[in-house]
Amino acid sequence: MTDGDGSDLTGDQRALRDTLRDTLRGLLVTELPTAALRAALETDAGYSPQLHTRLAAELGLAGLTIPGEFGGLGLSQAEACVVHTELGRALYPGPYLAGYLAAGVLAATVPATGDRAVAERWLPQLADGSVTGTIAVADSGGLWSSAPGGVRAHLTPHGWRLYGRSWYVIAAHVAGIVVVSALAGSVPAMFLVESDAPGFRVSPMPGLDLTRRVGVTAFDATPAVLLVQGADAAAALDRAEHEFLLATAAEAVGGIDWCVDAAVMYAKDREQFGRPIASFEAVAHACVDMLAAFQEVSEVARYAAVADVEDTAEAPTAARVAALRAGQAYRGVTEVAIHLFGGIGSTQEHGAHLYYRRAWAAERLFGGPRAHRAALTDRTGL
Amino acid sequence: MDFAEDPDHRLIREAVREVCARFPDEYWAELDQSHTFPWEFYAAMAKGGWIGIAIPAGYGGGGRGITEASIVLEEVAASGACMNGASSIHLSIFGMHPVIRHGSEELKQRYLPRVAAGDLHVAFGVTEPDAGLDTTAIRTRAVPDEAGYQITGRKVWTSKALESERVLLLTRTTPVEECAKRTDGLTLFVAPLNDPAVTARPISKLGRNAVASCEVTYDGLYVDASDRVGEEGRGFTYLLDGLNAERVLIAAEALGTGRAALRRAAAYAKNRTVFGRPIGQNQGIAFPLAEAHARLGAAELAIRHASWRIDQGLPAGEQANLAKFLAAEAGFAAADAAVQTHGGFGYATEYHVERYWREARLLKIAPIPQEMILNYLAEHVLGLPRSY
Repeated sequence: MTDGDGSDLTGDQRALRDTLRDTLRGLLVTELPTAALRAALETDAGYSPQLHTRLAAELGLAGLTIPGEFGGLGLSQAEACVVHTELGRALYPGPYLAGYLAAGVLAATVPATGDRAVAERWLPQLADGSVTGTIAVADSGGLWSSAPGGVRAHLTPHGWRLYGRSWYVIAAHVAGIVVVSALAGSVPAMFLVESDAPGFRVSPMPGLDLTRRVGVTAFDATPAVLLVQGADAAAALDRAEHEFLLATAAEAVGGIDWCVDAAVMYAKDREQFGRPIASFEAVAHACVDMLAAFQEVSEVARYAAVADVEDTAEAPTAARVAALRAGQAYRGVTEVAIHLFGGIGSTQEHGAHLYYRRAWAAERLFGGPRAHRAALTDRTGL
Repeated sequence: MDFAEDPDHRLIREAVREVCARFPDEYWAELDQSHTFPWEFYAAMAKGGWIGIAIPAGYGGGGRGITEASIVLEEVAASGACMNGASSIHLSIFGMHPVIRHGSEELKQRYLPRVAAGDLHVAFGVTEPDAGLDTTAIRTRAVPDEAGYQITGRKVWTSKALESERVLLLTRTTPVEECAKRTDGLTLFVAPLNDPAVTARPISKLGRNAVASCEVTYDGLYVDASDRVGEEGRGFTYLLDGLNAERVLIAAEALGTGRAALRRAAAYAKNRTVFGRPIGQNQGIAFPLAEAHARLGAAELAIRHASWRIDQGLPAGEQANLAKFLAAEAGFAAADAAVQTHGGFGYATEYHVERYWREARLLKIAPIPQEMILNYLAEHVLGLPRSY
């Protein structure tokens, strides 16, 4: 596995992955050029529901990692890595990441509790794209937590009721169901809330990233279904965070790839002093450094995904390292790219700022480098 | 604001350059390789009167300030002598500062004229293996009797311990438990080094090998009470007095080392032809050198500002620390760019830049690491809580 490319994956798996990548990239290049992306960002939803439905219907994207028995494709994190990379490359603004995280928790409840009811009801709808899911797990500081200060759950004669707020909920404004991390007494638990439930409210958190909206979800005696509790809930939260780390690293790979392509194309095209600016070493070397960042980050991201598929002992560390390095590199690359574009790179019209915004926000989402370093410090026994 | 160069300073620069020109890179490379102290260079600098430049005129010195001393050391380093040259005279130029400020008249008369003339070499013994920068944690003890003190302990990184007749030695005279403050109870001496109770062992190190740094053991060394600097128990305060000035001088040495490296690198980049043109025509070569020049320029301004404040008697902690930080970074970056510019030859001793590089690296660590400078700026300038 040292090549980071998953030598243990079968030829079929690799072929599937390559097909998925090519099809998805082709579709997004056609359907979501910068102009279309900018238009989508102007809408209330912030993305094109038609395109989102097409990605679910034609490619089965929404059900990629959902088990086949619940209507999904049942694919692994190796394929998910490819998808996240392509969506990150196109700066896809639809609620894919949110649904992927919610589906992960719902699928995990089946082996944990033996209860299939919730999974059978919701997973097929997430898989076919008819319902959008998200996950509400962060406190006001953006850290994933089931600690006091977040959401509390109380068992009433009418069932569970949630109180409190969660922050940084991705795509909360369009979610049909929300997986919520809460404390039931002193016990961590995960719940499912339908967005039309009484006492549920979403308010936007306007931020730097224009292509990924987040919001605050508020719960006031909101009816909820218990998914898992105790150690199972803690495990589900850990697993969801792990999947987020893999996804954010893979998205960064795609974003960096876009920056390299766009900057190189511009450097070859743009002439100054009678020659393409790419012929100046300061420009050429900056492009090469970006390419090196792309290679490095795509290797660490794939390595982490394959470590997950193979369930190796280092998988958690690999995912943390991937998220940390990807976050730093992505932001650095977008800064260089904007510099290389010169004046045009600092205009609203150019797409570069959208990548810079995404990179900046993604690096810090859910604790960011501090959380990664703290987790790695713990794991390495420092 | 007046940036015009003082005519005196220009004369100092030119005169020091003239002395240094007699000691080319080959001289320093040979001494560095053979681990030999630069006696001839030292004698020439003494003869020119440069060693006593900052010692008061009443004691045989030049009576000039830190600005002039920093110019001398910058020029020495910039000649290609780098830290081998600067360190051979640094302590003679500046090390006696606590004696000048706090020593008895008798002590000053006894030592300063000989230091100024270059006849008396002095070393500096402060840090210890277990103390590091936590100076008040030193354990070298000086126990008083009727006429003097018995000193026992171990110092590390005492430069020129082998060549020096005396050492400015920091000791603990009152155990820390009996002191109101940790900084109390430390006493400074002008102690003898050529005594059977003293053993000095050079430390094998990366660079600046013409000037050895030693681990020195004091096994019951007897020091006469008349060799005590100022009052007993106040040694730490006396040392603090000179820290800003020392930082500025070190910064000037880093600046000079960077200038030497940049001069060689630019000359090489102009003359070395690859792919049918001078390599300096490539931005990949030219830009790092231009950037090194820009950073050295900024460091130089910071040094001038700090030395001016010190000579005016103004508080200069912020400026001196800032100058040391910027100059150490800029000097090393210039040396590093010079090595890279030379390609494979940068690694060869023949081109001298590897020697500059090894010596420039030292200044990011000694006499105080960059991190401690940042601690100072964070705490004393920005008002952030102390971290250590």
